[in-house]
Amino acid sequence: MKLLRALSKHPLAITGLVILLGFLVVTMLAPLLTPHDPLQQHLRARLLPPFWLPGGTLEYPLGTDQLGRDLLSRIIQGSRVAVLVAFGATTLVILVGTTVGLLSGFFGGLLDTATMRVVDVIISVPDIILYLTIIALAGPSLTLVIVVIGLVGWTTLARVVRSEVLTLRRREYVEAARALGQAELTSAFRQVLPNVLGTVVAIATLKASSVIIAESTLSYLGFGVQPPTITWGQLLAQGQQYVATAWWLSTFPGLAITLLSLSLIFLGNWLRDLFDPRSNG
Amino acid sequence: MRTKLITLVATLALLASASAQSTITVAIPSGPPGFDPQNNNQAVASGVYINIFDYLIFKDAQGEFQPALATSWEAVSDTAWRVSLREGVTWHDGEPFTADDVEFTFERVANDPLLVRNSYYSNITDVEVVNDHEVIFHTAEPDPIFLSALSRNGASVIPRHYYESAGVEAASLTPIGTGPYRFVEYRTDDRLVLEAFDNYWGGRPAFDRAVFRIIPENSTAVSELLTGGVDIVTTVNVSEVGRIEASTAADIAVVGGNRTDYLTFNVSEDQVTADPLVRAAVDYAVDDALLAEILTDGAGVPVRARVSPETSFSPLEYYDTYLFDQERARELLAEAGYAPGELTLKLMGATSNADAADLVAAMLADVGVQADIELFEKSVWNSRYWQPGDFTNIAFGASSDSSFDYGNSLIDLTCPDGVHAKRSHWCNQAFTDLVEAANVEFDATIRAGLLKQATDIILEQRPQYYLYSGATFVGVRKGLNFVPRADSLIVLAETTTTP
Amino acid sequence: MTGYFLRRLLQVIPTLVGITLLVFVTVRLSGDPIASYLGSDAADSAMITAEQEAAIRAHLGLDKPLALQYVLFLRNITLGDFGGSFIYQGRPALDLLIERVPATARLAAAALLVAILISLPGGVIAALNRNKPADTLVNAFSVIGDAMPNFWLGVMLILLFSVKFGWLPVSGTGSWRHLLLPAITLGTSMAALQTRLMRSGLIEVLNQDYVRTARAKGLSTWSVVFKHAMRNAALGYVTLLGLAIPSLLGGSVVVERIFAWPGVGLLFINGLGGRDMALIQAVVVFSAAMVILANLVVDLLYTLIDPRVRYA
Repeated sequence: MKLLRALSKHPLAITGLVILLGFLVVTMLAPLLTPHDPLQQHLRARLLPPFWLPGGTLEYPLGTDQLGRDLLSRIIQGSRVAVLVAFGATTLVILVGTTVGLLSGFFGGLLDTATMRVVDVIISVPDIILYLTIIALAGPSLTLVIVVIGLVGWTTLARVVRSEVLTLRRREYVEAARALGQAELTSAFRQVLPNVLGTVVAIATLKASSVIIAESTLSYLGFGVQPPTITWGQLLAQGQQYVATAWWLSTFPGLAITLLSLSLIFLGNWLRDLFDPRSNG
Repeated sequence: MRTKLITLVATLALLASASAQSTITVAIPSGPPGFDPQNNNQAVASGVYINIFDYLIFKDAQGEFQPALATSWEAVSDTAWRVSLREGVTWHDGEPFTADDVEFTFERVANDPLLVRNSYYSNITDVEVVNDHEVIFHTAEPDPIFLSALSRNGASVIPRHYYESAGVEAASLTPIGTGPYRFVEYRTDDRLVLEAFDNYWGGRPAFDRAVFRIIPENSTAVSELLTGGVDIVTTVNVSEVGRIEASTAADIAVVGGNRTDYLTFNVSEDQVTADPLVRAAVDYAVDDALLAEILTDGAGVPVRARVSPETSFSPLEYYDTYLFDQERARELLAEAGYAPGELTLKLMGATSNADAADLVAAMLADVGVQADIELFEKSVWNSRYWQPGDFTNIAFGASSDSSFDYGNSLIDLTCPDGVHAKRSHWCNQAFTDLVEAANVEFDATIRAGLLKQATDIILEQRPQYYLYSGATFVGVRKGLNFVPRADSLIVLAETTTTP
Repeated sequence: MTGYFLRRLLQVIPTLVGITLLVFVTVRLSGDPIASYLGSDAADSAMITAEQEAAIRAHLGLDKPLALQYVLFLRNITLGDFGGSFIYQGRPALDLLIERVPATARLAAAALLVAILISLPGGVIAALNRNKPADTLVNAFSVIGDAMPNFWLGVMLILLFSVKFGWLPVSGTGSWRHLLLPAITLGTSMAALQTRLMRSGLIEVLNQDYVRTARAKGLSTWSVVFKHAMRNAALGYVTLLGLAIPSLLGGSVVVERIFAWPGVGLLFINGLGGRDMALIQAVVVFSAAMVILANLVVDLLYTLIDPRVRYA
């Protein structure tokens, strides 16, 4: 309830939430919403512009591509992968990051040092270069893209969680719980998790938006998820080839990417401001 | 006083126009990996090298052999060719070109297995220097198309004195040749700058400087063409053609060539494509003309074999024709034992084959075959599946042949070393024998006959199913007299501006 | 203090070793490098006989056991030898890398300048007008900058400013004009984050007691901002330098391709496409080294800017 009230004060966050929910609904209902089969070619209706331009028709509202496939249907279909990648990678980030941060902060010692070294290795190489190296060499696939982005992205989260754990370890109630005989690890989880959850969600949401951009960049460079699976990044990359003659092919997927990314950022910003005790909004 | 002033101004103007260098700029999608013409396979590189180096024999735009560094040639026996060399030719550093250089060039590529071009010349056993301007090539096997080998990519003549004194590394970084342009500098992935060679045997080229700019993104290259940043774009994507046609700054030239797009079947026993009926069904199910229409904007020509008008000994009855009969396809499938919807074929390729794969899949669906498309990023596709021939059912491919000889291109399907045969896992001894016989046959009529028989085998067995002979789009700015060639060589020596 | 930095430098070594291992394993496990040696963009089908293949393999050292290959690779790196690049006909990868660094450095510096020029005034305006329309506007722009794929922006900029208006050259290097569009493309994606950081840093400072006191005493907002707040916000801003390097290197991969800018990013993409082990390894290790260096420099700057910051 408190959350909702807090939310109501921030129109940007509300907008973000609404857009996000909208995308989720579209993703789940995709097969019902696509006016045409996204893979169906209409060879006599190639490169048609959106319906409000001369030559366009309402049958293909956002126009068609070089094989006559309906752009709107393909964008709707592509939202599935966008959401899957965003959620999949982000979940991985949350799971791995939180676990590693907790264990590392709690147990300290050799585990902590080793983990922090691994973190150093990962963060030293710029994200996209690391993604590209692994994905390009191993061969792109949907699973690999999700896994790689997830396994590269957990570091910030792990550090944040770890520092929370370190702070809390010094506090008395952990001592007290220990004195009462509670298993240490459980007590750590119980104390730390609620404090950390808010930040985790905030960071994860912002991460999700960069994941979507990362996927589209990979596709542009040719190392993303391969056709015939449709992703927005791919649509953007394919549409890029026609950017001067059929601008709609890249503009609308680009807008979709930007919009979903925006919604996640608005939401994430609000969440971060909410949970960060130092920030005044 | 006034006359003096006028004279001064006139002189300055004259000097200014004389010193203004004319430059021709060409946009290429990737840079030559170096300047050792015997150690790479890339079309782009060869296209550039022709300006720095010369061949002994040069094929003109009509495909006729013309004297270049060689002035006359004849076969003195089945395995020996006497070649007379041009006199008065100098290398870019002033040294004279002699038979010694020819011996060095061809013995190097014939004997070093680490050079990528080695296998094209391993037939040469010895280059005999008769005198400063005459050599005799000795080959192990009779080679009726030997002259093609001397005029294809990889046959650039290189200087012995330079390679020996400076070493291979330096020579391939800052090359010296006999060509119309001399090397000035090369900044990797940025630009290659060449300047006109005054003492070129063919006469000083029209442009003082030639610059090759490396622009990987095609839309950027076309934007440069339209804004006057470059004069020529060597490969224009189908998607950009409309943009150039609509502009007043540049034109599109369509060039033929012998690049052929095809489907390769994996005919190993465990594959459903091992059944020749299935392969035939695919042939009848796919509409080659429609594919060419959509994928190459109508510039490609449907074919049934790897033929083109520019390729010698090409059986042109298979050019501009194709099989398309959906009923027949269904019959063949039934004969092979498949009810509609029962057969699934995998279509594999690189990301760039996406549109082709979609079209073929739709055509297969029309005759009751399920298509399962699986595409890969280019380098993954190449190293994991394509090179080793490790794909399922059907793979997309395309090849060209810089020798422009049909018999030579068939070597690719011979067993056991032919690259295409290996990929397809197809080994047909009758075919191999025919091709090998044809390639040592000097009599043109007999040779054509043997090649026809070999082609018949391919058409019946279909290890590969040929779709269309490709066309390349080249963007040329208006006012430039540049003739793109079927072999993609970027010959700037003959380029001028139209008055 | 020097002890801290020495320790940090020592820690760098295992990190770099870890990176070399990561790259080596990935490259080797991912397929046969021979295919790339033959070129994938071939005009002719490369007919390589079995003998040729064996010779090439031996020449590249691919016939030795994997562990031995790694040890040799590591030893060679310490001597500065990353191997010869296939796709650049055997030229040492390190030489190629060094040749290309200046171009990327120029681009990165220009992009950083663009980012600062956008984020500094942007962040200040937003912070001073908190929750008012100006703030929302700046926020919106910064978020859009974050959310928009930079390759799309790059191509759009070319179409607009180079083709349509003809004000700027399309691609390549040459004059400051050639630098403008790529710098803007690369810089705007960084500007977004920097604007937000500037804004929040400044807000935090403006809320502190001594600032309120100064304002209450009647000092104008501007003098308060510039004299006191900025100096303190600079600390947060310096963090950006640490964050900027990975972002710039990563962004250069795409931007250099679009604008045909001959830097390290383009070298990397070519290396990937050609599965060129030496190049890939060289670029990855180089970028990691740059990031680590940047972080060390940032830490050093911290201690200089704020003497209160001490490292145990």
